[in-house]
Amino acid sequence: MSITIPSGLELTEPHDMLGNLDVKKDPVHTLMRRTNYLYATYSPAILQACPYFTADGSYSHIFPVTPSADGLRYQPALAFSVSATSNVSVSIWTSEDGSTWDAVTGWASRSLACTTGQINIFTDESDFIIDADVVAVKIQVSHDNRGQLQLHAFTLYPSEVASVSAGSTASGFIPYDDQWLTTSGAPVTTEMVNRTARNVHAVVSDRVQCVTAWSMDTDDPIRMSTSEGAVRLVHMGQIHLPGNARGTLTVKLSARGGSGSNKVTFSQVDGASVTITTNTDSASPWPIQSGTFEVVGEFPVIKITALVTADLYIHAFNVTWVPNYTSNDDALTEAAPPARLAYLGDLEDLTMRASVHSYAAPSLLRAGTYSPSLTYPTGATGTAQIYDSTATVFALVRVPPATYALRPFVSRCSPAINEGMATSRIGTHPDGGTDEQRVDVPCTVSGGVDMFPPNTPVGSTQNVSIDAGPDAWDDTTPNGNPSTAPDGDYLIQTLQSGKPSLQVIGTRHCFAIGGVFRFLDDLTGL
Amino acid sequence: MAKFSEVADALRHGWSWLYALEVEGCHLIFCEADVGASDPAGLQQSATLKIDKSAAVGSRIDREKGIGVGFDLTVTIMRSEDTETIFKKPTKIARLASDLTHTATTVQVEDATGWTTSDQVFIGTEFLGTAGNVDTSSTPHELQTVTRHGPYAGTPYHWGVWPAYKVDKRSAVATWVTNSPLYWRGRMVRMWLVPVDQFGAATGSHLLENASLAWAGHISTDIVPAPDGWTFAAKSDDRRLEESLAASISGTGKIEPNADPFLTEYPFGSGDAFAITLTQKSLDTISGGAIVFGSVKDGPRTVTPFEGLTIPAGGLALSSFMAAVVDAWDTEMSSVDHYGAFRWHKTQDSAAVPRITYEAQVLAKAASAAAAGDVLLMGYSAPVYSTASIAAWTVAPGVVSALPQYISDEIWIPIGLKIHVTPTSMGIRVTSDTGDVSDIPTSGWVRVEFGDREMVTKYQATTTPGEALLTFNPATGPAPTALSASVTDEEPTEVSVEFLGLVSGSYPDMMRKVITSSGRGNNGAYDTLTHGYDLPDLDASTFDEVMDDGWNHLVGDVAIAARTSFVDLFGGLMRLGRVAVVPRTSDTGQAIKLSAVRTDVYDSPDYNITVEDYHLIRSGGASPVRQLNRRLDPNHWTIEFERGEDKQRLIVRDIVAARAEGVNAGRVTAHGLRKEDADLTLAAWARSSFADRHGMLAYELDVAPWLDIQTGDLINLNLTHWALWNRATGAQGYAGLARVIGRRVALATGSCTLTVLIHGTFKTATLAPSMPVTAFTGSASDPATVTVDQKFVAAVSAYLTAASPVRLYAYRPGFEYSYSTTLYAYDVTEISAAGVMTVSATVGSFSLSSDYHLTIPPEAQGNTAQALHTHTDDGTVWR
Repeated sequence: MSITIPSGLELTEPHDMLGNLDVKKDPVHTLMRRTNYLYATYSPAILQACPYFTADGSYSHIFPVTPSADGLRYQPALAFSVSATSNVSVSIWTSEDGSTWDAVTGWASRSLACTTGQINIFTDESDFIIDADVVAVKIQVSHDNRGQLQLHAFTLYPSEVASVSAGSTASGFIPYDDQWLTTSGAPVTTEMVNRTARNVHAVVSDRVQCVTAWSMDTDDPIRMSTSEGAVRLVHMGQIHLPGNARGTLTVKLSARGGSGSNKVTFSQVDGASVTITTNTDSASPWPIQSGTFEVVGEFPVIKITALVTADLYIHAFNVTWVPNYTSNDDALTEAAPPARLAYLGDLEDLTMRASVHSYAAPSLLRAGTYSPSLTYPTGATGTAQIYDSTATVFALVRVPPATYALRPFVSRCSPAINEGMATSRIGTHPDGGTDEQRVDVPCTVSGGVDMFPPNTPVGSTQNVSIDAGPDAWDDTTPNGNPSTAPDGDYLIQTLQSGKPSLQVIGTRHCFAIGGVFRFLDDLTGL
Repeated sequence: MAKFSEVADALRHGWSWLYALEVEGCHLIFCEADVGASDPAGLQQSATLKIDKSAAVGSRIDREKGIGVGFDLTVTIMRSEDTETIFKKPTKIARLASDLTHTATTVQVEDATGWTTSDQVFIGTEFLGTAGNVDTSSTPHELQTVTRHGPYAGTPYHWGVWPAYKVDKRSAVATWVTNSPLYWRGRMVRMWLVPVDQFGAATGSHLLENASLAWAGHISTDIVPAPDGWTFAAKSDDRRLEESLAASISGTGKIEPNADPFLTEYPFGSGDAFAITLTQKSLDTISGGAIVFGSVKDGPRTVTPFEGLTIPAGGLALSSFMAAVVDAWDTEMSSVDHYGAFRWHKTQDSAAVPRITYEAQVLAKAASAAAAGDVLLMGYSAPVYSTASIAAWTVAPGVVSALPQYISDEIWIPIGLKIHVTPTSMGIRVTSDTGDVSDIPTSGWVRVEFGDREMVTKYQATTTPGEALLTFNPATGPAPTALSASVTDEEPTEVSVEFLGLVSGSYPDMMRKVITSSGRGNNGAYDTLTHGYDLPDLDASTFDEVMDDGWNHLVGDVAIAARTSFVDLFGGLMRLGRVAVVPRTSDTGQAIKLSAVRTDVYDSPDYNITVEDYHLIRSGGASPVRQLNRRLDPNHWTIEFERGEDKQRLIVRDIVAARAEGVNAGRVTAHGLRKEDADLTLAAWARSSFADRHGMLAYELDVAPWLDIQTGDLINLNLTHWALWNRATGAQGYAGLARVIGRRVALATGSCTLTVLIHGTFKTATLAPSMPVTAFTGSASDPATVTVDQKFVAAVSAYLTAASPVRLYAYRPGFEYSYSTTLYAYDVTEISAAGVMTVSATVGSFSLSSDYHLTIPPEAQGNTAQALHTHTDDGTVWR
């Protein structure tokens, strides 16, 4: 028995599936091994968010989540800034009912050393198991030296799986044993074709991916009152759902307030929506409510609004997507269909699509309120750097394999129409201090600087625009010196890898950042 | 009931047969002779049928169209008292007064004077039965309690049972209610093969009890006179699929560049004297909201256009919103001298920005009470609003308009209230050319033609009396400037529109829908469209069986234009996917159903029958085996994707073959698909066809009629005829599998001609079945019986025919594969729609459960039947 996880994505050549192709071990063997690899490496973020923050020394956030049925290990990634160099204490819990919390292994309380004047990013700390029946994750961060801190980003994604046990997993994945087709004269069965296709479905549909999420401090959430208008824009941003023709987004919301009359609506602009009437329960924690709505197209604009008839507290939300191009039905239903090359072509398409083109690009609602007690470096030339603004926030975005760039979508709202045209600025920032890349996105429609939407009524004083960054590609090596860096009119380069990666993105002058991934056509050499 | 082959088999024992023709909506069954049989229920025999000696029936797959091409049937009905009666003009004709549903048992006619309760009632192609009561006192008159023969449910099939139709009184065919058939073209026909014993008598309690259905189709010509009678031709059901679907209607419209977007959220704001407050669409009504206008002369007047305005589900149309303002204005100002009418005046912002602005204007009327310098109109505050479809709602603050002096002429005064609409929400106001706006579907695809331009796009329609307003999804089009070069025209451009039929979903489902849909919804699970062929006899399960895998990945959105047929819509994909739709007789011989079949040849133990040398017959002096020149498969494919306005092209070529042989081009259209959704699947299909040029040979075989073979069958040939050539070995004759792509039977002689494809240089085999264990008896380690799905019975039976007991490998997917756990079965039986195998022995240690599958062992351990499946390195190929 030998269940092998290939070290990389195994590719086939076009001639491997052409002509009168002798029935041999391959290409079925390779295609089935590819699903083992997919199981081990497919890791879209279950959660990627820029939590809301104010100037404070401690925060606590709760996020609704939908973990894998297989009880996978999840890797947390965090980004902090602190007012004074010190350790930051981080605790992470999970809950299966929203009220009882269990500390996860390694994060009962974990000290992370943070330096003031830079962004502190932690991406390879201890990972932990999240059981299948967990409904929420809680994270508490506090400055150990009475200083203030900001949790810019919190991202959770499945860790790479080192080995797969024999038999079916809870998600329905069934590993492939190398011994099957390496035996002389082995039968090539319909179940092999069906299993390969169903494995893709099992993995892709089990690992839901976050397309937008957000949370406020559980101890000090912002109250939306009726005095500022009945309807508030909470979030509006454009996401990228690769290959989506008509799919479903699942909403999980934690909110309270009103007497059964406050409503939060999640919608696709010019599309479908779901409205959730919030809980009236005043006790914390608040139950997690859920709903779904249809989303059409690859680049939908997602909009979240709140109808406030009484004080409303939106605690957290997490909107997730699962690609629906796969099916759990058997691909082959006939008892013994002919050995058609088309089956191999379909499996090649399915497995490659899942491995590379199945990760959504989220739209992350970022906090806009900045604590002036924190200081960021200004860099060698000061204003050229992306984080020279007091409104720079860093996001940690999960990037699929074989991706060479991200074209950003930025969401902005302005206090009045046609006011000054401020330019949004997006940039990568791997470890702090240096402005590696920068993309400028001028306002094109209504202009304005970023304004934090939740506290602003829709309509009378606000206008929202979503603008895409330039679609030009400049493959010059990112320059660490802002004074000689390109002028900011290109795509954001990402790590070109055969495996998923994490991208740090700084944002300024916008309230949300999304994007569209640019995929490599040639995967050899990754 | 019997199968064709069973009736034919009786020929060898001195029996003969005769044909009987049944016509929809006709109580006569036309027979070749009176053999003394009783009449089937509801039918009356008429020995007036004459079939030409040269007539043949059957079907041959056209692999380029994806359907069977059935032969036409031409028959003669001899003159008799009965046939004269049914072919002459009806003696009673009444005009239908109201639409007739397919379940109604009362027929409303304009004038039923003279009709009696003994009269038979016909309409269109349907025989409604005998009127149970005639009511001439009602308005309109009624023929009551007719006994509809339908609704036809397909099964159980029965002679004398036909569909009951939904009849629109506007139909020229169905306008007339008569006491005998009026029209014949289009009626379904069934031709039965009736066995006649050695003594010239039919068997059974009535004529059709032991008959087999030999052919089914539709009358395709008018009834025309012939010597001593009449003649007509009928077309088989598969040929119907080449006929156009009447799925589209036309209309005439005018472009509305201002459009009528649906307001899904409403402006908010507050102001001094000018306030508009609307709530979300989730509320049933808009509460509050007022427009206050001030006048020195008349004092402030408050207009409340939104009080009680009902918000329909899905939002409020902008036109309704604007109309509400106008209505409220008119109501409030009707008694005021200085205010006249209210209007929304359309302007364009600039040529560069294709945006329409509606500006609210009121008509200031001259009035004796007004004096020069009076300020007539004031407005305040500034609600601002923006969505993707409404760019902004603005009202200039302060005094927005004032009349400096007394005026003597009417003048329109802008009051500063504006609505900006982007042209992404352009629309078209349409009237249906049918005269009935309800014929316009509420959503679907529409083709718009204006000037020299044309576009196909999706729409949603809101209907008002007399017309419908088509609006378009801004996300999918049309493009902002697609509809009109200029949006400033006060007189919108007139356009012609065609509302296209629409079918969506997986391709097997779409095919089944198009074939069966009747507009009534009672032709089975797939009868969901308003437009289709209304062919009830469909073997739906065969589509699932042969259209698997890649077909499941293709989800389409197919627009059906005028003059478009099933073949036009799906023939290209079926050609690439190597499947076809053909008529096949059911196992009992009672029905002929359109079925999906594969059109390529491969090895499988699950073949239908073996044709031996002694099955060949010589007919008319020709050799019983004839090689055909098979049309060469393309080496250069052009696949054109067409989904609405999206049109893309995919070229798949074998450049070496093209250089060597010259380009042999194939072109197919993938309707309803975008290239990015289907290119990999269809490219794989196209590439796999390159292999066919070395893979298959085509032959015609004349065989005995009692062989149970149908078009689409996989059969085994064991022939030594010199015309056959085993390409793999070079030997004369052929022993191996063949695909039947055509079968025709000469009606007079019964001779049967098959068109078959056989293996060429390379040989494809079937994948090995993997049979999930659904149940077992005995212990888990030593089962006595094992149950699997019924679909595996044929294969296991073939294994057992080759060698018994048969060895099967038992494995759990995801666990160790050592091929050490096997069981031996010596029997397989169909029990309760499942296959139950009796186990004679087991090898290895296992604990059987529903997680286990059974498959064939490695090649060296299998038998000759199992060798017809694919194993690694066994010389077979993926093709």
